[in-house]
Amino acid sequence: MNPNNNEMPNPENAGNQNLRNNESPLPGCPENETPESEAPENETHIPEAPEAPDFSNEERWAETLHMRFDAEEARRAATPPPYQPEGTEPQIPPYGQPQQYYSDPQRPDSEPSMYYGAPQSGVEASQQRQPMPPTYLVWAIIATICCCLPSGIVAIVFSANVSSKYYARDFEGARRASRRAQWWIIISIVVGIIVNSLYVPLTLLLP
Amino acid sequence: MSRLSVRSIAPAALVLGALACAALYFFIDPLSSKWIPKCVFHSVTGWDCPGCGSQRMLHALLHGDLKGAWNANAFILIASPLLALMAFSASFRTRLPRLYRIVNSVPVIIAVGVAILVWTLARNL
Repeated sequence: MNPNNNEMPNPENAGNQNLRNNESPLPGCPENETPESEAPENETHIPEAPEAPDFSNEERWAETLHMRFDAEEARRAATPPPYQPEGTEPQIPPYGQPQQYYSDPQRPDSEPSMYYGAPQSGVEASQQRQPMPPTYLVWAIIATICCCLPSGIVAIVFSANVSSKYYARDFEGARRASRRAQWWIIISIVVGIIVNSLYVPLTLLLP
Repeated sequence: MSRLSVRSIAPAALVLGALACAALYFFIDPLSSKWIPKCVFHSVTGWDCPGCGSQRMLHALLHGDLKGAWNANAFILIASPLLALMAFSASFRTRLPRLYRIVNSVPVIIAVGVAILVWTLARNL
């Protein structure tokens, strides 16, 4: 039982979660009781799926040597790319982007239920595997209207950037823009609070 | 574990906060009260910011005065149902990814930004 199984399931890594469930379907395991992982109804064994190698030995070595070893990463590197059905272009991610593989690309039903519907092909399929990173649009609007107009507009521009990069399938760039939008929202809310907390006592004292 | 408990508490906290805000703006008139914060942008420049009048709008709306709410801040009055839809889709981002993609598509976001700027200009002309 490797220690990584106890971490909370992350929606971005849902594919790996799925893969992990496939290789060790333990019924009483606590990870199966979390709401994210109870949804996918996996078959216990699919013959076409490549067997993911076991890295528990390496993990134990890393532990004794006090070294960092990410079993997830190693498993991803060792897993062969998924089979592409006819009619779909191979999806080549931008350089430097970690690729996420699914246990069985031929059966989209085995994907987690949060990606509902079967992916048709191309853009639609890759978008369903990877949900859009948060654009924080609501926060950007609230920050623009209530706190600070200029930096709020910058936040809205970045949330538009998230969306456009996501639609262009630049998922890493979308995530970066999402983080920038978050920062600009934090900046504008903090500026708004500071300016208001400086100004409101002044108006109470002066007139 | 802590993340799960935060998730379960958040909706209740949100509802309680909204009720507290509603009670505050029902019983306190922002125009006569000294303690309700005024808009800094309006006090300094004399112009209305896009959110100016939102507290008066809320007070009028809670007293059933639709016309007063419209006069105080028409933009937020119109935008609040859309904002609620956006907040709903944001809280179900991984559960309903298609709705999130539609609500956060590029034309929608650009329209929101342009609408805020146009409203700011229009109310000051």
